[in-house]
Amino acid sequence: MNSYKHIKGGYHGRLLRIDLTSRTIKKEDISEELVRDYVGGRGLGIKLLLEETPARIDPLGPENKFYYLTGPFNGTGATTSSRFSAVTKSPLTGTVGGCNSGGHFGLVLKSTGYDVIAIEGVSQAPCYIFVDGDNVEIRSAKHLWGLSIPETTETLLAETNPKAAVSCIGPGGEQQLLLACIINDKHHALGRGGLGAVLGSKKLKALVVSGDKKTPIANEEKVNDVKKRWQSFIGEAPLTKDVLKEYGTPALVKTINAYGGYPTKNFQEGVFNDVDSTSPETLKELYHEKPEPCRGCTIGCAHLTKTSTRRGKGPEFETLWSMGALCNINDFETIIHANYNCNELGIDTISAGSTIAMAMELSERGLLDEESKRLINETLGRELRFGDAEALLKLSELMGKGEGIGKYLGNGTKWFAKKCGHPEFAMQVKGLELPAYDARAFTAMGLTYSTSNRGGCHLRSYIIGPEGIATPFAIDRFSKTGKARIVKLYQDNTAMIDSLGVCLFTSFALNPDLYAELLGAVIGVDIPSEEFLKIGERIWNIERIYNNREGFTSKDDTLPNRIINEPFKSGHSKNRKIDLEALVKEYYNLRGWTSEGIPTTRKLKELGII
Amino acid sequence: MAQFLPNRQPLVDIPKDELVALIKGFTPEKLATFIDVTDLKADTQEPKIRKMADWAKTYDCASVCVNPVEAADIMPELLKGSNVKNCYVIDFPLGKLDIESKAKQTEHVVKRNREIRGEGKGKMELDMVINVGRFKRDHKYALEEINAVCNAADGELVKVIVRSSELTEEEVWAVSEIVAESNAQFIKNSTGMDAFGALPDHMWIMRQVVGSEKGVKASGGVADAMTAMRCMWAAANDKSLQNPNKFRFGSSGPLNIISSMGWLLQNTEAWVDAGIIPCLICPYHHVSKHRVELREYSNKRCGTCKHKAYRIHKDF
Repeated sequence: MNSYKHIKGGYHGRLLRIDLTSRTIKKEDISEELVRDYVGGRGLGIKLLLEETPARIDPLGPENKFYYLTGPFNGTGATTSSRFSAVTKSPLTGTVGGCNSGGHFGLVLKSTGYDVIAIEGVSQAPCYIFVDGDNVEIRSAKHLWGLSIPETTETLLAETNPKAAVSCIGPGGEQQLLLACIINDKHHALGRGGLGAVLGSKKLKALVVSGDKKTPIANEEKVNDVKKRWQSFIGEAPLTKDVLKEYGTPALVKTINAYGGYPTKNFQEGVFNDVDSTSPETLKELYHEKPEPCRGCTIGCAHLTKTSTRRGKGPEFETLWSMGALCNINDFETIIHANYNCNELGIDTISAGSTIAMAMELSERGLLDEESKRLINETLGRELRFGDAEALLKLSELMGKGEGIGKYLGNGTKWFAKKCGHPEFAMQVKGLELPAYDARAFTAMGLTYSTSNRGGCHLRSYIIGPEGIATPFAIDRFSKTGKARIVKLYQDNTAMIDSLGVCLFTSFALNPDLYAELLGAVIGVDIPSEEFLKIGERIWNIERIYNNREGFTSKDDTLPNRIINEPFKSGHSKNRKIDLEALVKEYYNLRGWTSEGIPTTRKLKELGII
Repeated sequence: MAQFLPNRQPLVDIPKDELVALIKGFTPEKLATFIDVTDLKADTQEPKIRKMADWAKTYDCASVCVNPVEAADIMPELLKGSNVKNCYVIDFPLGKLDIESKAKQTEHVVKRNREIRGEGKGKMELDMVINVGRFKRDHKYALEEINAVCNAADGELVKVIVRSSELTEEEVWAVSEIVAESNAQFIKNSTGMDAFGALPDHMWIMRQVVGSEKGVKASGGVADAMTAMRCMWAAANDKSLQNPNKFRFGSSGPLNIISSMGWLLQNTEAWVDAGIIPCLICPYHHVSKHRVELREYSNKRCGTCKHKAYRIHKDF
């Protein structure tokens, strides 16, 4: 570890910089101030991206940089602490593109002895990077180009080190489709925002890591004590105790549907009448093969699944929804296969399902452009309609491969709706397809989506906890009062969780005090929870500054017209509307931003950003 | 003291300032001291018993509340030397033993716990269930059975479970008066296995009737800090009542309460402002397990409620 003055654990203090254009490799120190102010993972990533890339660059051009980042909790043995982050400019949204993923890649990445791997430039030919502790190589990936995720992973483990970990792209990423994701450990995705396309644009097929460096810990005894208490809370909270272990994330399907907030047929309805066909019980009974949690995780939501012909992981709740209810499809096995298609070929399942659902609606309404209509007819031999499971399977494959109509659908709803001349049918915010909790049923989710720094995302403040599943306690899902403040609290706290290197699901059992306590013990500097949340606020604001710099304004903090102006006609959220304008206004005030959504100088000084 | 008023609006709108002030006066650690850590399931086994004792001692909870069989097992030993009391339920969950049997069960449990714990009087509590059916037609019988258990308890603290979800509002007032008149120290709303658990309206009525001399215990569904604090506001908003001798809540999930209190203290005003759909804390909403006469009674109350729009669309 670098000899920091105050911080005595959690970091190696080193950044590995790899320029694919010049094929140079540099090892740099990370300053104490940087980790003190931005922690690691997502926070450190946005700080580096903002400082190291010029404004308004092409996300798929050579100037964009891609950061793999760990956090101070990786390697400490804290439950769920295998998560790592990736940060770049998103080609799908043009905003900051940030994701984090589980599996075991994050732990191995940390054990290389680098906290950050920064990838720059563009390789002339397909390549992959092998970081084996201090030994770093850029190797040819010509033999890997075109291979699926499982094929790539197996090949790379065989030719590097069977104990290494692999993060790679599939054909979707190679073709720079805007929905391309990156998959590590065969099944775990840096899913949203098209990050796979950035690696594809750099002709980087994979990052393979291997190492044996231990994460330094400042106060081992205290860390062990806090970890034990973490585990006692996680072992007893309703969701983390056994629900997620038993059913995985699909446990939520029937709950959200019962609220009338489970978007169906491209958000035209809020109740999926065939929900029992795609229930978590059915998934468990018919398709679960065995649990396969991320390394070191005691929540254990992940399961290997199998059908009569294929094996894989998932589908997760959001995928089950986007390929099920959203497309009005109740054929579980086909949904699972479409999920496998996306994971094996490397595209985001949420956005893929959402884009197919939108295409179904456009087709039924006769609004597809002529070329798309022709390509779909050539592929399916018929018009595309809601409920067509066979079409879902075929289109998901074409999207992953970037073939036929797939090369268009693979760019997401915003892009495809624009091609058809009907942007109003794209259910997205800032270009990112919306998740499975309808804002007409869950008010704070609406504010979450509209203000999320990476577009319509539920994971930047998982406010469905209190609004939908009484975690940490139930609040009125329709009320407006208090919601802006709670969303801010959740956004700031989540920015920290994503920067520490643990799973968001820990927040079903833990509170900010408990995260702050463990951070203090790991790094050897006490962090009161107020300071902890202040760092989260700093991260949130610097992400906002980045988006403002890239041209985003208050006009982008909105929701699709359908969500704002078309109440549901049935279900337990019928006739409900969200007053988004008032919520956003209150939110800006709370954030200390101008009415245009720009952080004020006063706020930036308060947060130590300037 | 308030009095029973027919068709009174149930207590679902809690004054924000009072609730915020109450919450801010607590820490997770302080709130923990009001908890009776509870597990009354039929299939509870030793590892859980040990875990409960560990939690209660770690967080200085008021008691560990279990079935009477545990008095003759390891529970008294586990709590020995701590401030945490052993708590046992008597004639649980139906309250359908005759008075003599109730008293005998009490005597036996008291004897066994004292023998094993070996720390004399004052280290245990008893949560007895009244015979609700008999109470409905014979109030004197209810008083008699409560006092019989109190006598058998030989000075140990007795809480009276009245299964308020099976009572009309008028009956909740009436049973609270009986407990007030009895030798018991606490009134408690629920077994946790009844139609609904702790709701502010019933907790409020109980406090109105028993006054400051006796304690009120909220149980059933108290799974998080906000639910606990709403009940405390209803039954113990006065500072003089904010101690474990005057207010308790039973919970099988104490750690969730403690952790969620950490969230509640982060921007308390916002959480309180966000509110809750009123039906979810209203005694007239939870009707599915009721007898038909109580269902009709509840439906009638809903019909005159200012929040009835929620119920029409079942938006909860």
